[in-house]
Amino acid sequence: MNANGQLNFRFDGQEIIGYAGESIAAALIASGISATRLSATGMPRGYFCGMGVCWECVVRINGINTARACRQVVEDGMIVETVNAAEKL
Amino acid sequence: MTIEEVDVTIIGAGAAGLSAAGEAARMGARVVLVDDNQHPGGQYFRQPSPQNYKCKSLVSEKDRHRFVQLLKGIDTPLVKYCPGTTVWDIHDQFTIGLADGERSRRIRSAAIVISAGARDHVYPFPGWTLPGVITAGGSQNLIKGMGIAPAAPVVVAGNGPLLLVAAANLVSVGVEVAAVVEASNRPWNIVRHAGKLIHGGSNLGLAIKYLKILYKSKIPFLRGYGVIAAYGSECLSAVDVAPIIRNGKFERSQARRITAKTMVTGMGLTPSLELPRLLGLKETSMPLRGGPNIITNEKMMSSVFGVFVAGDGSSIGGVELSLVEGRIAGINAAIHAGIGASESMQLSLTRDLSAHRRLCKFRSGLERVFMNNVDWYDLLTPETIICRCEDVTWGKLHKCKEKGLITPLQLKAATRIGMGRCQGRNCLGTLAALTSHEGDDPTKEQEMPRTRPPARPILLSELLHEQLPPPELPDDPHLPRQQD
Repeated sequence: MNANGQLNFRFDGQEIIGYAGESIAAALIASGISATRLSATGMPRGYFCGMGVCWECVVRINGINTARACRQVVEDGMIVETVNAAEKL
Repeated sequence: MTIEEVDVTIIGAGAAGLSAAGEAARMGARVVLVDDNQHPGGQYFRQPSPQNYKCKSLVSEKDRHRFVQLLKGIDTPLVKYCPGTTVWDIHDQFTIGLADGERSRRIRSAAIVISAGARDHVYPFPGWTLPGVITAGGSQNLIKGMGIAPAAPVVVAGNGPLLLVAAANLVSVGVEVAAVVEASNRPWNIVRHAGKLIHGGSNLGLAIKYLKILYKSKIPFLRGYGVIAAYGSECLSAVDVAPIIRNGKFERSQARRITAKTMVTGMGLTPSLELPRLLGLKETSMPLRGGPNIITNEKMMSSVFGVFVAGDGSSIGGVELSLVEGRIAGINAAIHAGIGASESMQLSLTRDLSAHRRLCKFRSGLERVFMNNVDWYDLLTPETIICRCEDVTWGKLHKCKEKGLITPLQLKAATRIGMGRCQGRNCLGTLAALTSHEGDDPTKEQEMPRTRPPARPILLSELLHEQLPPPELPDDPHLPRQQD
């Protein structure tokens, strides 16, 4: 992370620039990415309510946890991936 | 180990919760203030968080000052503020279950203030699940909280004052807004209800400010129109708008297409009722105020003794009303906990009650300005998603109806509607409306799926690390009872 708070993370393998304090969803929208989840029938979904209610922006973080991208703050080196709801856990 | 005991537990640290906590503490009450968010302020007073924040101009000096005052109110050893903490259970009206990401614990108090806020009310329409279709609240949080603009061009469409605020803010930060589409079309109500609107105080100045911004921007403002469908493959690319005719239906023959990468939408707000419903607080239907509202008395006490509900979490009224209701609830909750009110507190309560009356008048005027008779369900097609978590379509529900499955509970069992991660927050309102909409057994109130703990998804590890044996289960009339 540099002095401006700029940091890097990955979304589905793509390098994304974020800033300290930014939510994952905000950083992705700033990079032009709006689809972050595949629904139960494989439809693209993304940031909708923006306040933690709708769970549409759920992403996978560092291979294990799922979290709402609108509430989770970006961290340097974070690996963020699309969640596929149709996939069996 | 014992359960932590305090005088007043306050749930939600938005406008209502912060002012409730401040007043209860000013009375001398020991307060626990629980908030699901990481930072205080709720939606309205959401503070910018990124280091490179660019939208400073959106927060007025007055609000900055008010927020500082609210924070001062809770900056006392009497208030224990718990951010990032989810209330997942209210076991009886005095014991609540909290989870903070690490573990679950319980707090018991003499009084509870629920100030859980509201969320955007969005009626389903074809294409509403496309990435790029976001709520007015979501747009506000993105620009006000994150300093990030949604992808342009933006179409702002729906109904209600928040929509105009969202549109004006987008314009203020330089986002290209292609059109503002407002369903209501009764501008004369501004004049007809001027006597009520005049009580708005500072709200009036704000309204004029936002309208000026929109007027100056020369953005097409379509009154009496609505978005009938959103299109796109991976994300939004266009929307169709059509005029709304007298009977509240959409005139599809006059539809026209507008290119948009983002649609900001909302048809007003609706209170978050999960916690009130766990307690079985009495509700009333207020169609102009987001649907189901919690019934409160002049003390902001609900139908359950000792449980107070304030702000948009009880009935939609906006920030000014939330601040006042929070103060009224905070003082009365402390009194309920056995703390005497000094003369000055009594005086400030009287002042708040008269402010409350004034703001309620303003609210009822504003509601009439944005009133409409739109039949939003006219937009549904068989492919329209109703339940976003489980991808249950209107067509699927309709097929169930043909098989004789008509009640919300039957439809839930057959389709999993309302059983996903959002726990029905996106769809249960629609399900309730659609099952009564169809005229099924109009004599009987539909039995809706019950709200059960956890009120929000929590981790199993949080429960495993709970250090107390859970309190004894109360008699639940819905569970089979063992015979003696």
